[in-house]
Amino acid sequence: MSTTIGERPYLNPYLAGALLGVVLFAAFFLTGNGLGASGGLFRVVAAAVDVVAPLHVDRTPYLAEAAGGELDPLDNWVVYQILGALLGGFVSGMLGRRVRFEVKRGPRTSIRLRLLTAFLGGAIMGYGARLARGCTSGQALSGGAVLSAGSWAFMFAVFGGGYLLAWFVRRLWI
Amino acid sequence: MAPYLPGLALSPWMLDLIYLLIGFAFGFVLEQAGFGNSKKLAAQFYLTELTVLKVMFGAIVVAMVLIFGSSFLGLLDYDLVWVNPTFLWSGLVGGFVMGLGFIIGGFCPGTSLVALATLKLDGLVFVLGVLVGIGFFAETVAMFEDFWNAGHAGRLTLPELFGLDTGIVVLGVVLMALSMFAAAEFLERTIGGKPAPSGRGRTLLLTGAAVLIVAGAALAVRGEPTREQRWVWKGGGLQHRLSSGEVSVHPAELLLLLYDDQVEVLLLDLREETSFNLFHLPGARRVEDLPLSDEVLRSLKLRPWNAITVLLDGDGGRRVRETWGYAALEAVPNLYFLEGGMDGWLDLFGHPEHGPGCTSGTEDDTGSMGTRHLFSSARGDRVALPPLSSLEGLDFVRKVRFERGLSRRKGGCG
Repeated sequence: MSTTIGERPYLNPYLAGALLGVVLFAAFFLTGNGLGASGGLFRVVAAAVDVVAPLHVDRTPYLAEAAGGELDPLDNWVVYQILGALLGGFVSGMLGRRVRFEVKRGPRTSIRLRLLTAFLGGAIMGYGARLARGCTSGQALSGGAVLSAGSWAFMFAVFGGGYLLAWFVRRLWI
Repeated sequence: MAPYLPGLALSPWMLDLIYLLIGFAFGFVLEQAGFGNSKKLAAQFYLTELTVLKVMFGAIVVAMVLIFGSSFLGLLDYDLVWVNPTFLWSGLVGGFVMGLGFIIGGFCPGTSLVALATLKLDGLVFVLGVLVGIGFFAETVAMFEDFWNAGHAGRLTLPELFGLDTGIVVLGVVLMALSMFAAAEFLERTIGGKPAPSGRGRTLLLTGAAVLIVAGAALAVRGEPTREQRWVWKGGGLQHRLSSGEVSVHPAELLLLLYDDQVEVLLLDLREETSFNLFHLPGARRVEDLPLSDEVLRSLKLRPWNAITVLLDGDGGRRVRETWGYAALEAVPNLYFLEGGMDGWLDLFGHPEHGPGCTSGTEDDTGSMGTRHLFSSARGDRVALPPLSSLEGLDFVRKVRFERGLSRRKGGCG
């Protein structure tokens, strides 16, 4: 892997995993909730639609549950958690000298193609995450650690989907 | 017992701050692990670098051992921990779709946030894509609502699914993860061409693995806490809820709830069969055996959030209170009992044979009837509910509230 000059090395993956496990445990121990990401982004979407078309929110049950009527979709723990994650990611990146405008991509991929696939993949991911009622953080990590049966089934489905398509899109990455 | 936050009356900004700090630690570790870099994430699927697997399963195993370790020691109440409900089919299909999005886009939602925070433009664009995908889901979910809710098994855990003790499952997951780590090291050496860990790093890894195995084995040997142990930890709190009266429902409130279309009320009648046949409330189900069977308890836990369960007996006495405690220890949500039992109901709304206000019989008649009200013939449930107008002028406190708090709401990533 190409390391740009000045970037500090990443943490050993096992050490990072253990630390992440401690953070996850602390979240459960203190709050009873695990970690989340896509739920916070959902609330951002609900808030945005609520500004543009509040009536539409009230007529769409899935949005109304978070933002219907007087409800403030951003008044939720998971929103503060993703704000914190942005801050934490930034501070860690500063310490590792990795905060820099750039596009990470495979050696045979143009910037344009990379940004296009990032958007497409993001949209697919966003749709799938709401379909599955949680993303890799909320379902796989959090649900996996508390031994939710559905979360474990979900986890294997994620890896299944990724490995199945990986060969066909290898030009993007290797 | 933890979790502490739901029990503390913290001001909203304190709570927000705590979640912000947890999020900070989350984002910090993700970035340190290299998860802000899409190339590192995608490498997982080409088997050249298995960082994703190591970090993810490392975190799951460490958190799991800590969660169940503290729960087995009585430090953490697992019943108050959010366990993602199982919706098998939408989980499998949604997960599969996410796998496709992962390899095309190079991130998952959480990792794209730290990529954005470190100014990776592909991360920014990915986040925008996620927002669009979420919006599209919100607009289309109504078209396949049945599928989205199919395979609902509630708070189903692996130990319940396999019928194994929780400690055994914890040990099994530890051993599975360690085997996957060993396989990952092998793949990285053969496919990725990386050197094997050696020296101090190797010693540390083996030590970590040994600690996890010992911890898992300790939980497996100790076994999950028995009812008696859990009663020692939680019985006091449950007794307090019983004696404070917060879980007893006044007959008038029960009548209101029975008329409320928004609330699903399940009435579990604990009386003997003869008394039940003489007179019971419409829709009430008689419980055959006490204590409640595991099957009944499980079905009570699966009820939707707008459902309440009301236990009732002849007089609202010891039997119904003990059964309430038994079910509450198993974390049955929205559980109440009828204040004064069927006697209290009939005292208030009147005897179906004699009209309102008439209390025939005395305490001595309780016997096999389970109620001090006499019946000349069995009425079963062929007595209509009293009209709502019979509540006029009655003074009572409404106590039912729905537990949509920290532990039971659509939480997790939701």
